[in-house]
Amino acid sequence: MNIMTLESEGETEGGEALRARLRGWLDENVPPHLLEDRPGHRPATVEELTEWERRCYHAGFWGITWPEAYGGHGLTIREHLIANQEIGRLALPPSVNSVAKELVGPILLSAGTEAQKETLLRPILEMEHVWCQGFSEPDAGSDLARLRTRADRIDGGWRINGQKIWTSYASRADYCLLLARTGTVEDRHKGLVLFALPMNLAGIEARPIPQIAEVDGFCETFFTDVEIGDDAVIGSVDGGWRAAVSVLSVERATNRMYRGCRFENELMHLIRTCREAPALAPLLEDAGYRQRIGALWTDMEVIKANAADVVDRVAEGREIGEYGSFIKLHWSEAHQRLAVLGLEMLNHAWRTDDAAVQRAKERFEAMYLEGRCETIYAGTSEIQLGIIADRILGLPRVKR
Amino acid sequence: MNLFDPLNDLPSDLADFAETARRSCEAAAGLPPAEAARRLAEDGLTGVIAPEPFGLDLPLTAALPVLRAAGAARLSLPLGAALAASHLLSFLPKAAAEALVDGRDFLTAAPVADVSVAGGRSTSGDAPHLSGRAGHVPLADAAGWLLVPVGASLAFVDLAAGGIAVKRASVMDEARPSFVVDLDAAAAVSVEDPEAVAEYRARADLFQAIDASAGAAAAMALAVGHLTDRSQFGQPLIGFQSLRHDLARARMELHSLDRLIARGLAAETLTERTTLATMARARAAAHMPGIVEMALHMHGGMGFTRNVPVHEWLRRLRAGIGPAGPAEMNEAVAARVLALP
Repeated sequence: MNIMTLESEGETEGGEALRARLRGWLDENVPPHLLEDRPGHRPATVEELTEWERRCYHAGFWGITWPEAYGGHGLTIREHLIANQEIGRLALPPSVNSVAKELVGPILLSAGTEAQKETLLRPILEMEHVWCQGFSEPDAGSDLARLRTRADRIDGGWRINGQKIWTSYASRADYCLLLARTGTVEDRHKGLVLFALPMNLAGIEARPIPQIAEVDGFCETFFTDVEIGDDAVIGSVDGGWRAAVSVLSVERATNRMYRGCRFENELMHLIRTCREAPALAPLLEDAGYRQRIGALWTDMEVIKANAADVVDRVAEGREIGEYGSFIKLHWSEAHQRLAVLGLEMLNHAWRTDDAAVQRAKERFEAMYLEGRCETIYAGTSEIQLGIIADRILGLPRVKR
Repeated sequence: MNLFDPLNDLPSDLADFAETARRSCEAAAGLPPAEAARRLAEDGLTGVIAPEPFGLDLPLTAALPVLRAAGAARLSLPLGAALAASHLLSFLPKAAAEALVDGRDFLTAAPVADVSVAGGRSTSGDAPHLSGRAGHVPLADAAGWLLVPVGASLAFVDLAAGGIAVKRASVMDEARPSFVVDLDAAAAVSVEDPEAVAEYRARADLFQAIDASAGAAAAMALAVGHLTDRSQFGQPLIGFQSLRHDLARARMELHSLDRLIARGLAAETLTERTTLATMARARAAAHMPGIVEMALHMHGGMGFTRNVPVHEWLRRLRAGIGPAGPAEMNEAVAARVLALP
């Protein structure tokens, strides 16, 4: 096992020292209203969250493994895990620029040109550029290889025409990570090109789509004769997708390593609320609820163990492969079970006006609705099962 | 490579050892427990984590490939109990401890018991005598020693000594039937050290989970082979998405359990190991039987015959769960969680 050390401003900082520093910074700097397990919580504005994430970056929470030359902190995945654990420990809102930090950054680092790295990476961490993801289309969801948005060659660049859907935050994004087709639909995964597309170009229209949960995000985005230069292509033409996929299979395993600690925060919020509310305390003696709590706590430990195992594998140079599919499949379904348990337990509190109980109810109601998309986005559960069957188990494919 | 192979995904430093364990356990498969004990002892497997001078004194993680190989091979010998008690050998007379490690004798363990010291706790330092009943004891008719819970302690009982009556209670596991053992002032060797007792319980839970995981993985490997070879509706069954997804979900559950086991084995504190062991056993009890049942189902009618050994893993799993099913184990986890501040 590697010893967790890092170089920071000329000093060696061990893992526990880093943890203490990050935890201390959060304790002193988190705006209380951001915390979803406090009665004083209120939804933050986009501007507040943008400023919060920028401050978190400077405190050492974002871009941990990115090279210092591009604004990152130049550390290892072990420190990445520590920072995520500390973020997850608190009931903080999700990033409003996760596409940029979790997808675009790693793809650019792997396949981008030097100019792209120099101009695009630091503004992501500084929250100057928000990105959206232009992959899915109305007729190409889980079957992404059917996408039809075209990228046609013009003098010195490309002309884009088509429609994307589920382009979260497109209405306020500065850039789009756009996947378009140079060939025909029959080419499937071949003939796809990846762009870093500025969203202020003529011919782009983003229309918000109302979601079932009270958060904004979804958009459908139309591209009509949008012209873009060659310098916007990420990776080689017709090869960017392959580069992106190879990065994403690793990223799926290393992104959002805060999930285990956040799961614990949520479960402990539920338990604490029940323990302190007279109307709910008897539920903690109920065998049925106790067994579900026990099973969910075990789920939480599995989520943490998966993250720790990924870190060990990366540190030892071992294969991760499609490991992220185990993580995504297990976490998304367990998180939905947690939300359901929270709803069912907290619904017993109808006689009380207690602010803490009300806050917990609001949190778990939102978690339940928002959680419905967790088995859909980033590859549905069926896609993850297909990946495990094909690429992890290596089950033979059969052509009918 | 079949990723349902129980010996996959082991730490690289255990790979060679895993192959030794596989060969040894496959050679011992089908042998009566006493012969299996001798065969495994020849390869050092019965003393793999036993402290010196009795065994090899390897770290706890070395038990993983041994128990996975034993689980996959469906050994009749209750190796998990023997390995879990490795650190307790020094409580036994030296000759008895040596016999357990070198395969001249073998140990079984009672997961539950209603046993007390006959005439109350001895204060004279004499060996205590136990009375009461121990349940779900594998191979009590063939083992030399029984490890039995006595309140918060443990005790070794010489099954060949007086005051012992065994009665077959279940043949669910045909190769390893279980018994009730009635003790009537039977002489015993006490293990009163709370830390040693807690360590045994954590190891027993972890090793039970390893056995379940190994059996489920081996059963699924057979199912994959069958689905690949068997064609219906003009194509191999493995091509049907519903079956592929079921296999993938089973693999995910095995992966989740194996991560808990790995963390439990590597835990630096007894408290941490105990917690993770409880969770691993809870998860094993909740998910592994379903996987083996599915493997049996995937074989179609063949799965219901004795030509396909999936039923042997299923019997082993169901018998091993005993009175510690998902409800009880999840309750045990909840009790720990709800005691947190």
